[in-house]
Amino acid sequence: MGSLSASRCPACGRLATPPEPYGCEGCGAPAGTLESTELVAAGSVRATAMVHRHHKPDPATPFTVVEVVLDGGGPALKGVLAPGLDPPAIGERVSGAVLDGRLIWEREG
Amino acid sequence: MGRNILADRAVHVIGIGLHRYQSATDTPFVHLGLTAVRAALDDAGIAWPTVEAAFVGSALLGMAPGRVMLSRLGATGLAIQQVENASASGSTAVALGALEVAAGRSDVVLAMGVDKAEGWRVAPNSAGLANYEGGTVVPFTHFALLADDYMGRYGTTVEQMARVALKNHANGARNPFAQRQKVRTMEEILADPISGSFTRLQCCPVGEGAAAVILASGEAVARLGLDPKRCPRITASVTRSEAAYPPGTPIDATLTAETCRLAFEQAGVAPTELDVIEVHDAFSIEELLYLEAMGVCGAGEAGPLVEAGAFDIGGRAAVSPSGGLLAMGHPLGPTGCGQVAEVTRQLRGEAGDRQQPGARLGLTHMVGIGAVCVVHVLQAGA
Repeated sequence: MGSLSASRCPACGRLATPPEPYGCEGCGAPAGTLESTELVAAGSVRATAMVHRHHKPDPATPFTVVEVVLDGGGPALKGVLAPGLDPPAIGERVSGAVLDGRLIWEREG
Repeated sequence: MGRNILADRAVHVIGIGLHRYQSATDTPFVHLGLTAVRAALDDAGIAWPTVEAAFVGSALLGMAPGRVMLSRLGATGLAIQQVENASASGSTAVALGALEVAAGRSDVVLAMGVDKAEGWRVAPNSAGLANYEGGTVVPFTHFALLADDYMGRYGTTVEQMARVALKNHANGARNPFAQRQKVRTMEEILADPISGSFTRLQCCPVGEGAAAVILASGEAVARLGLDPKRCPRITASVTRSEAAYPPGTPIDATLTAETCRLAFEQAGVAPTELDVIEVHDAFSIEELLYLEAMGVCGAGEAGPLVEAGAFDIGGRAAVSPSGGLLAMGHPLGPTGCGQVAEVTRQLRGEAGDRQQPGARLGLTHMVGIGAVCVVHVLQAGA
């Protein structure tokens, strides 16, 4: 199970991952005031979509995009389902890891 | 909130004109734009020098398309401003044009959109902001995920969602300015998967075209001797952007709900009173999401209602009678102006075989990447 570097705004509590580089969208606090933190890349599936057309060769189609509500709060995160897996159901538990800048989800356990 | 200047000084649509939306050609944008503007001037029955200011919406043409085009109607020295607001560029040109007239600076204004689907540069992609998506989540997948979430939440079927496209393609088939002018079968709509439940015909085509609307003050309508029945009034013009909603908030629906609520307040009408609605249906699910966000119907009700024909021409409200983005097309700059042109045609009772009977109240709604949302409410002329 991977962790995701994140930022937390001490003024309003808003989480951002990857860390916010400019200023807090919640309250405008400058980036320099934001605290570094980590989020666990685990949560439950909000939605999936199998993609049949893509404008680039990578990833090869079809691939599945999964949107996940993280256990630790913050924005729902979209990533790609690990190749060869059947799409998870809505509400199913998944965990993820970042590989070459791309978040890859798979079923927990 | 400041005061409602549209209530202080009436702004009317006096002329509409279009160049058909179409797949990319080598036709210069100048020809597309001039076709629409000349048609709008003819429709209004006014001469070009009467126009005091122009707002030109485009997202892809680059710097300075306005004067090189409009000068070919006679370089009168009028004020020309370029407007870029992503997919809502044309709508924003209308919003700024309405503001210009309502503020009393000009009496007769052109708001137009013209675009060609080439040279895409999208600033958020070069904003120095990282994400974990690695380019895998393009707009059709963003909305395919929303569709999956929505269908799971309300039990809406794939066929009910596809019914939006079936209806809008049938409407587009009756619109000579539509990019897609073919009645489709459900089998055709459901063929050729793109992403999630979306198929090719449930995603809008992005091509080229132009749309123009001429706006005027109430005094100008009288002074120019125009028929007030052909000059619907803009009673609301609202522009909003996405706020920092709490995690878990449905962003797209919330932005539309906020913007429309302000527009209904400004116009003093209720969503259920609308006769004609031109909605940002770039993908079929959006029509369902936004009708509910507007308050035209309750949460989860739009799928069964579209299936029952409630949003057909002749139904409780005609939704996307032009064919919408799905069939009329979405050439970016023109789209929002084209919506205002369609609603104007409907409120005049001049929409021919796509006429919503007794149409008196209409709404136009566009969303642009970022995200921004622009909504107008129009009332039939008296």
